[in-house]
Amino acid sequence: MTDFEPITGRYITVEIAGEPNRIYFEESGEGIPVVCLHTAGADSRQYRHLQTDPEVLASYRVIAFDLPWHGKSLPPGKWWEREYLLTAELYVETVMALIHALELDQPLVVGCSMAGSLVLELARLHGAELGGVVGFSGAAKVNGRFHDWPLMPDINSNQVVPSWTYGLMAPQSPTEAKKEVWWMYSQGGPGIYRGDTYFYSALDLRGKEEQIDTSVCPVYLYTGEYDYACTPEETEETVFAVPGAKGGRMPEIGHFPISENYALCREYLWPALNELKSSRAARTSPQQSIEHTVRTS
Amino acid sequence: MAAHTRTQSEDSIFGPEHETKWVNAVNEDPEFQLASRWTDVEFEIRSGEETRTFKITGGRLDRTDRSDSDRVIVLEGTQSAWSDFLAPVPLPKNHHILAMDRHRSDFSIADGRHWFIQNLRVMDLALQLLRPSAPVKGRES
Repeated sequence: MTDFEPITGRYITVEIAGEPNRIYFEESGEGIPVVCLHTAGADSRQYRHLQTDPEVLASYRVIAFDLPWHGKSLPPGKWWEREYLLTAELYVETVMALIHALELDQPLVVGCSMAGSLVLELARLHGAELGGVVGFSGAAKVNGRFHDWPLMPDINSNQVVPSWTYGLMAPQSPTEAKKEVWWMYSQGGPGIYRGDTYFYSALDLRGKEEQIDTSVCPVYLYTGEYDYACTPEETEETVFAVPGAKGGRMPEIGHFPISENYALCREYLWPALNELKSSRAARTSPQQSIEHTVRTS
Repeated sequence: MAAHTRTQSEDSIFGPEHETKWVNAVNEDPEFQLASRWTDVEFEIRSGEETRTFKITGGRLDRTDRSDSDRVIVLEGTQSAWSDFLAPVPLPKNHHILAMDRHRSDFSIADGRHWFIQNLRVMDLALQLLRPSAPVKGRES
């Protein structure tokens, strides 16, 4: 008997910044939609453990997609004539375009690294459309990940980019999993990791944290103690600054929790998802809807 | 959680026996052997007055004398910094050269940063094995 995994993949063309983009996404499970956002220079394979977790799939429809320029998603037209530099506006538009295209109702959003920071901006700008967010390795401001060397002709970015990110993982994490992260990072297009870190380093939500209404869109933020790119201290500062946010430091794990040590990451993610499920249900219950209608009529 | 654990004499980055074991471990490491076949890089490990020079070429790590090359990587730190790096389970921000370079004021890639980045995969493979507790490939759980 063939042992198929529950993950299935499809393509969808979505308009982003006025251009058609062919996006690849994978999904598994049934229930509340969870949109998973990969790290800089990587792709949706990072979520394969979450997407094959039977307990998760019993209650959640887990969707992970490759950003344009990443994985099996293609770059937009005439990509060879433009420099890839991800901006907050483009990133937010991309995620929301996919959510709208798939007609997802109040999805939960899980992001890691640059996406761990992006979820804050999603909660700030589109919180009413989301059921809540969970960010790993993100903060209101993360410094110093943008460099030009990935495009230099005497640098083999195919090996250096994955080695650069490899050091962000914890010594305790399983070697097999860490090497898998390395492998995925070896497969990014030229300059794509660099272009993603342009966003990660440029985003600065300091001073805007109180614009996030966690009663509308709850926020969970966690960072591994071995992450020296986005430090746990930076994440803790953000958790403190966002009223009602939850989360903090995760011992014995690094920058890629969801893929470098899923079992340990799950100890934080699973309770967060279930709390979000409960709060989402409370907000979207018929009684709530009636009250909302009365208040706004 | 293992913390500051000295594995060598207090007046040296690491002892001669440690160095011999390290060089052997690196040269016997299957991943290092594969990744370093075309590597040609020289680097120094420094602490105070103490400097040790090594060369990786043709798939081998060896102790060497400083050449007149202007492409030498210099990794410089205090005894305390190197000791923290060498701890069996290093504390956060001490587990990688790039982490220490970013977060410790008493450690830096003092010279040859570009060559360090250029040779990052091989340099990292070698330097992770400098830790006495580094797992021996094939016997790792």
